[in-house]
Amino acid sequence: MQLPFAGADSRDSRFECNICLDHVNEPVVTRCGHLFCWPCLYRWLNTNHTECPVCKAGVSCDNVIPLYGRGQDPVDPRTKTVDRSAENIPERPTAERPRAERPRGVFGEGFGFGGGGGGGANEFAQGGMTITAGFGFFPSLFALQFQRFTSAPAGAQAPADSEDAAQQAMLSRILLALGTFVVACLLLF
Amino acid sequence: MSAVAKRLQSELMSLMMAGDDDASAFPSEDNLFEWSATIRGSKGTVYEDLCYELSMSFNDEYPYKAPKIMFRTPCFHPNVDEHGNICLDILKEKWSAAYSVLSILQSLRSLLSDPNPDSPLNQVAANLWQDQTQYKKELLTRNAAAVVSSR
Ligand SMILES: [Zn+2]
Ligand SMILES: [Zn+2]
Repeated sequence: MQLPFAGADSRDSRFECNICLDHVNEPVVTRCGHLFCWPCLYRWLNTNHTECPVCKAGVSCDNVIPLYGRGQDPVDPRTKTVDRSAENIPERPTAERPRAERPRGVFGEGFGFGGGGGGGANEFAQGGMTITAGFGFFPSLFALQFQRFTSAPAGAQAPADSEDAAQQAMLSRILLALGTFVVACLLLF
Repeated sequence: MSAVAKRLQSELMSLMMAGDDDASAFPSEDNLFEWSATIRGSKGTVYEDLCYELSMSFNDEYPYKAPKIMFRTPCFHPNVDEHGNICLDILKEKWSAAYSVLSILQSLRSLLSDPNPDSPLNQVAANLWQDQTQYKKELLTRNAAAVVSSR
């Protein structure tokens, strides 16, 4: 007899909620990596608990991460679950969107994501090149170079840019010292 | 089916699949919320091969609240009183919604051989625990009548 039960088979139990033991619904994952349905975890946290039911790590409603799988129906969860309103379960927390790592040394990539930023970045003309305000925040390497050559006002410079500038200044100082040394050598010997 | 019934059903399935001889549980015929369970003492302990029957009552708040668990067979143990009430932190303030029937039964098995001396419900058993030879003697005398011995 084949029992249609997943728990005994570890391959099938991967995406089950640790509280209701059913397939996870509106999945959220804690910082300690434990998976729950949002309504299940909310109810646990809302009954005077501040720790993960599985490993006792600290958990709060604000530090769980929602999981968005591919092809999940985009229905508003508030309209989807009936007992949500009955139990006063708030909407699942939304995910954080950390800034993407700035591409270093890849010259061409600047084109796609360049510009953007706060107020200033869009204003300086880039020699006929149109810059679209993309989702990236900081100007690309390319834009940075451009900006320096045209000595445009540094509109929205991220801290990373001044760091770059400092590095470049350091580099030119080293080159200058090296050049002086070579000249001195030539003169002396 | 309610969420609680669904979870209990899924736990029952996994218990049946596990087929553990040392810890088993089954709901009563007419009520999915009332279970009876059997645990067997671990090898190498004074409770070795002794079997105990327990009752487990679940309510609508399971698994957010622990089920009510009692020994049905008299159990001579520092943390079990004469009515079968159990003093075990995970069934009270340390309960977690991720615990299950199986994890409770496993905890109870380890409680048997590893009593908590800080909160004795049976002072006689607690005092006697130091001397394991005497304890075993007393345990067997007390259990002789009631305990369903395993083969
Ligand atoms: Zn769940
Ligand atoms: Zn955890």
